[in-house]
Amino acid sequence: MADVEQLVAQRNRALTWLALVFLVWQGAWLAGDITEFLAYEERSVNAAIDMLVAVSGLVFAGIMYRYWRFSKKVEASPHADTLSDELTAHNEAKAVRFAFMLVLISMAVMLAVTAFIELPGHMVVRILMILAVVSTQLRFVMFERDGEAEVGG
Amino acid sequence: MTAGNLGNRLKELRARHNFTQAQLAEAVGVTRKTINTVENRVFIPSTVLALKLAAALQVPVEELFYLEGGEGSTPSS
Repeated sequence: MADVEQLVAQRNRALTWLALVFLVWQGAWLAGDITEFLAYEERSVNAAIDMLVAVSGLVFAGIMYRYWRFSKKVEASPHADTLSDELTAHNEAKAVRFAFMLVLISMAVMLAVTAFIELPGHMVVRILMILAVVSTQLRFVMFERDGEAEVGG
Repeated sequence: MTAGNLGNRLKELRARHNFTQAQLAEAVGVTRKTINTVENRVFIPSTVLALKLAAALQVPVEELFYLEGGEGSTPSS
């Protein structure tokens, strides 16, 4: 059973890193979009953003590869079903609901903003994508870590 | 239904069988956290899991789970 605990902890760690690196990667890309939108032409800033996009993209690809290997390891272990038990499914559903509401609210806010500023479509899509991906993963990890009122023997 | 409506005697019956949360979790094929959240009334288990828990603890399911404040609210003993 210690294996299961270890796998759950590894999954939570991997999902947290995936979400954070995705946030940095897409956040840097969004920063690039914003500088372009504002016609900001400081070369060193743009070069730093490009570098951050490239490096975080590579790190994200590396973490995705490791996560894929981890999921293969889990599938091959006798604990595969245990790791996706009904509490996990319940937490996944709650995390998706949370992200859905967040995206809806963000869409409403951005719709209001477009009354004053014309936002480029690709920026809006990127913001919504970041919110959807990052909030689902981080909220799931938070649900997985919450709720243990007391640990019994 | 909220988790607050559903009472259980999981902790008591688990102790009677000298099961740790981890051992009971292994017996029914869930994580220890699932047992913990059911025991502490944070999570309502499915019918299948409730039946598996009752079978592992060798009691009828209505002895393990009961509704609070209403009909059928008294745990059978």
